[in-house]
Amino acid sequence: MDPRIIVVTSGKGGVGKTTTTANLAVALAKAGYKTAAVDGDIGLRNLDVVLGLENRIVFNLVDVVEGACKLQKAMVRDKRVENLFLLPAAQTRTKDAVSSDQMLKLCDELRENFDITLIDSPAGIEQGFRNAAVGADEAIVVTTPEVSAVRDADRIIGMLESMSKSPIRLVLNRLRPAMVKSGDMIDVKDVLDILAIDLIGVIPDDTAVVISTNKGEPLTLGDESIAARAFSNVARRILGEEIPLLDLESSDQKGFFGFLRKALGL
Amino acid sequence: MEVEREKAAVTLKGGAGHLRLVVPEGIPDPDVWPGLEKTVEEAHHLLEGGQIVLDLQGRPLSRDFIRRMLTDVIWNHGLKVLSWISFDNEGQTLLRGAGLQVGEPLAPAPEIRHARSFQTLLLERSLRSGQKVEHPGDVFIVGQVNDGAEVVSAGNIVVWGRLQGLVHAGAEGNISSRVIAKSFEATQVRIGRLFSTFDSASPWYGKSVLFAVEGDALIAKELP
Repeated sequence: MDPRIIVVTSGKGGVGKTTTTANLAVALAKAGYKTAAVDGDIGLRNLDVVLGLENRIVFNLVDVVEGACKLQKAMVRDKRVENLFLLPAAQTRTKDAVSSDQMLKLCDELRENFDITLIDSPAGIEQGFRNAAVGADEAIVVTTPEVSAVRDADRIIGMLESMSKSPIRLVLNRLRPAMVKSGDMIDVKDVLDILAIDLIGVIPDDTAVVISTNKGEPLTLGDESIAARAFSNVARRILGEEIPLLDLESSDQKGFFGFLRKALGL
Repeated sequence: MEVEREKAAVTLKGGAGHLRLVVPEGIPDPDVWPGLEKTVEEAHHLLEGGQIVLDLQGRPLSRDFIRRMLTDVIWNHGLKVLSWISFDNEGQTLLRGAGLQVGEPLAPAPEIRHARSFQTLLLERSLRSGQKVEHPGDVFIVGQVNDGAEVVSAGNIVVWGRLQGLVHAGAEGNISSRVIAKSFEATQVRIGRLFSTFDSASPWYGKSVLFAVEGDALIAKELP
C-alpha cells in the first residue's frame, strides 16, 4: 500500500473529530499498519489526552516544522499498541505558528515514515483547517445528525473538493436510532441527500465514548461496546474491506451490541 | 454514491464578444500556473488586443493567488480582463475590494448590445454551503442549492433540484422575475425588493413551486 495521509475534519467544533481520529488510529495500528496520529489543532491540543499520552510529550509539531528537533524525536510511541505514534500539537503557540509550506514538507516526511497518517483538524474554515488539510490526500468529514453540523460539513466538503482531496468520506457520529425512529433526529439518508458523498461509517451515541475519552483509552483498544465496533469497522473500510453497516436499531432497542445486517436507510 | 470529478484543465472558450479563460476549481493551486502559462502561450495570437473573462469557478481565492494571477499571468502576458468570475464569497469580496469587475461582464461587445440580453447561466452542479453565484441574466441550476449557498440574479432563477439556500431574483429591480424550484425547502425567497420567509410547516415545503410578484406581494404557486 502506498503511504496515505487522511485529514479528519468537520467545520463545526465538538462533533467528534478528535475521538474519531484517536479510535481510528488505534484500530489501524492494531491492524498492523504503522500509523501516525497528528494533532493539527495548534494551541488547543486534545488528541494527546484522548489517546492517553499527555504525560509523555517532550517535543511537538511546531518544534519539528521549525527544525528544533527531528520528526522521530517528537513522535510519541504508544506502549499499549505496537505501530501507533502521536505527533502532538503545541499548546503554547497559535495556528499562525505553522505555514502551509511547512505542513506540506512535514507530510512528505510522514509519508516516508508511516503507512497511514491521520491528521486531526481544528474546527473552523481558516488557516488552521487549511494547514491540516493541505498535505492530505484524502479526507474524512465527521458530522452529527444536527442541521448546524450538517451545514458546516457541507461548507467544508466544498472546500475539500476545491483542494482536490479524494476520496472525501463521511462519518456520521452520535446517531440515536430511537430518536430517528420517532422522527426527532435527522436520519442517515437525509444527511447523505444533502452532503452527497460516500458514507464510511455511522457511530451510535454511546456513553462508552465519554468514559473512554476521559480515561484516555480509545474504545478500539479492546472495548466491546457498539461504538467500539462501529469505529473498528470504519478503520477496516479505510483499508478497503467491504463491511455492511451495523444494525444500530436492534442493538439500541435490546441494549446490547447487535447483529450485522445491511440496513440503516441505505 | 460516487461523486463525479471532471478531468480538469485550463481552457479558453469563445463567448459573446470576449474569450473566456476557465480555470477549473479541481486543479490544485500550484498546478494552475503551468496550465495557464501553456494555454496563454498557445493562444497568444487570439488574446492579442482582445478581452477575456477570467472564470475561476468555486476555487477559494487567497490574496497570494490573486496577486500571482495579476503579476505572472495578466500583466506578464498583457491580457485585458473584462471581468472576474468566482463563486467563492470571500474571493468576490477580495476582488471587489481591489476595484476589479466581478461577475458576468456587464457590457457585451457594442455591436450586439441592443440585439440580445444577457446569456443564461446554466450550472450543472450543486452549490454547497458558502458558495455564491451572481449573474446579470437568468440562472438555471441543475442540482441542489444547499443551506448556506446563495444565488443572486438580475433575471429569473430556476433550480432543477432541491432549493434550501437563499435565492434573490430580479436583484437589480426587475420585479417580473420569477423563482422556480423543483423541490422547495428554503427559508427565504427574494424577488426585487420583496422577500418572504418560510418554515418546514409552510404548504410549499418540499413541493415544486413558482414565485412571482403581483402588485406589492410575493406570491407562490404550486406547480403540477
